[in-house]
Amino acid sequence: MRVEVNRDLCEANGLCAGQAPSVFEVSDSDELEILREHIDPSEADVVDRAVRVCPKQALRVTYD
Amino acid sequence: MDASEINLLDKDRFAQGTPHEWFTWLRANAPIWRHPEPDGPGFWVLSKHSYITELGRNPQVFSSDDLYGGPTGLTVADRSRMNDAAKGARSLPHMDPPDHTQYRLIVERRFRNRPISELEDRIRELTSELLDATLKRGVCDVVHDVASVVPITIICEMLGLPTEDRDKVIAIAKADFGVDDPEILTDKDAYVAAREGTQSYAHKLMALRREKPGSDLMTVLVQSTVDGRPLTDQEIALYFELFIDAGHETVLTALSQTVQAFVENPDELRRLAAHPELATSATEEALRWATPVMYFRRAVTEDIDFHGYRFKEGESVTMWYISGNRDDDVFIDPFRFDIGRNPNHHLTFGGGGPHFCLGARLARLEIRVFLEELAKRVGVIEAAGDPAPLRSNLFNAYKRLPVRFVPSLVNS
Repeated sequence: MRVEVNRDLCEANGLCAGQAPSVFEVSDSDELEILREHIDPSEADVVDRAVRVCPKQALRVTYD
Repeated sequence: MDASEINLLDKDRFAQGTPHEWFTWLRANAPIWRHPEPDGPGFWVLSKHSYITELGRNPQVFSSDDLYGGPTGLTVADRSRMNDAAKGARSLPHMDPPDHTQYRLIVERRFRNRPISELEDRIRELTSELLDATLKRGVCDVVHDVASVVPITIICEMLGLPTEDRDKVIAIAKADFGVDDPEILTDKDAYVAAREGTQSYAHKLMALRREKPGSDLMTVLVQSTVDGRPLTDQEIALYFELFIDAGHETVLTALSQTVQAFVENPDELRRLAAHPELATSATEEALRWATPVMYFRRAVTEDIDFHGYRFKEGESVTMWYISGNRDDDVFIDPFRFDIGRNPNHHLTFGGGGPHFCLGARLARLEIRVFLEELAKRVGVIEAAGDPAPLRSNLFNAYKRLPVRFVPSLVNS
C-alpha cells in the first residue's frame, strides 16, 4: 500500500505526523513530507488513523 | 422537558445565556431532529459529535454555497439578509470545492505554522502590556477592554491596515457581530450599512496596496489570480471582511468565555498558575468551553439517508458545535471546565473537512499566550456586575462582561 497527499488540500496541520511519525513529517518550511513511498502492512492501522484524523481530508491510501 | 419547549429561533432566550439544557435533551432524545420554522421549511438539528463530524466531511452532498443558502442563518429570512449584503460575490465559507480549494489556496500559506509562530513575540508584547494596564485599573469590561484588543491588532497588522484606521474598522466590524442584537444594530438597514462600511474601507485599502505593495495579506490578495484573472474588488472585499470578523470576534469570544469560566472556577486559574505547562491543554479547553460559533449550516444537494432519516434535496441541516462539545460520548464530565483535559477532540474549528478553520493556529497562539500571561499576573477574577450575553443564536458571545482582576500575591 501507498499513501498519497493532495497538495491542494494539505495545509501541513501535522496531525498525521502525530499519529504516524515514521511515515509523515512536517518540514521547517511547513511542507508535509511522506517519508516512505511503500507502507508496510504492519503500519496499515496507524496510517489509516492518520488518514482519518486529517482535518482537510488531504490523505488517501492506495493499493498497488 | 420535551421537544416543544425547544426553539432555537428564540434569540431572546440566547440573550439570557446559552440554552445548554435544550442541547442536552436533544443529544439524549432526538440527536437528529427536525426543527419547525414559522413561514418556512424548517431545518435539521444535529447535536451529537459523531453526526456533526460526519456531515461536515461530506461537502459533495452537503453544500456551503450561497446558491443553496450558505453556511449561516437558520431561517429563509436570516439567510437572505446575510447573502444580500455579499452583493453577488462569495467569501470562502460560502463556497464548495473545487472553487473553495482555489480561493483558499490563495491565502492559506499565511496561516501555516511558521508565519503564525513568528507572531508570538508580538502577541506576547501586546498581551503583557494590556494585562498590566488592566490590573492597574482593577475593574474592566472584559469584552471591550481586554478580549478584543490583541486579536484585532494582530489581524489588522496581518492585513496591513494603517494604524490610524484601526478604530474605524473595529467599530464597523463589531456591527457585523451584532446583527440580531437591537442594542448593537437596530434593523436590517443598519446591518447592510455596517457591511457596506467594511467593504468600502476594503476598497480604499486595495487601492493603497496596488499603488504601494507591502508584505501583508491585502497585497497578496490584490496580486493574486484565479482561473488566470485577478480577483474582483468585491471578492477581495469579502476576504477582508472575513479576516476582520473571523480573526477578531472568534478569539474575542473565546477569551471572554474563558475569563467567565475562571470567575466561576477560581481553582482552575490557581491550577494554571501553579502548572504553567498546562497552557496548551488549557487552550483546547478554552476553545471547547467557549465554542464561539455555535453552529454552521449545510444544504442537502441530493436525497440521502442519514442514520435512519431521509434528508431531501434542498433541505437545511445545522451542525451544533456547541452541543457536540458537551457530548458525554466524547468528553468525560463535559460540563466541567478542566484545563488539564486530554484528549480534547472539540469541534470549535469544525469537525474537519474543507472549511476546517483557516485561522486555527493563530487562535490557539493568541489564547495560549493570553492564558500564560494571565496566570502569571492574576490570582483571582471576580464578577463586578452581571454578564450580558449577546442576543444571537449563531455567536456564543458576551457583549459586556464586567469583572475585577485581582493580582496574584506573587506579583503584588
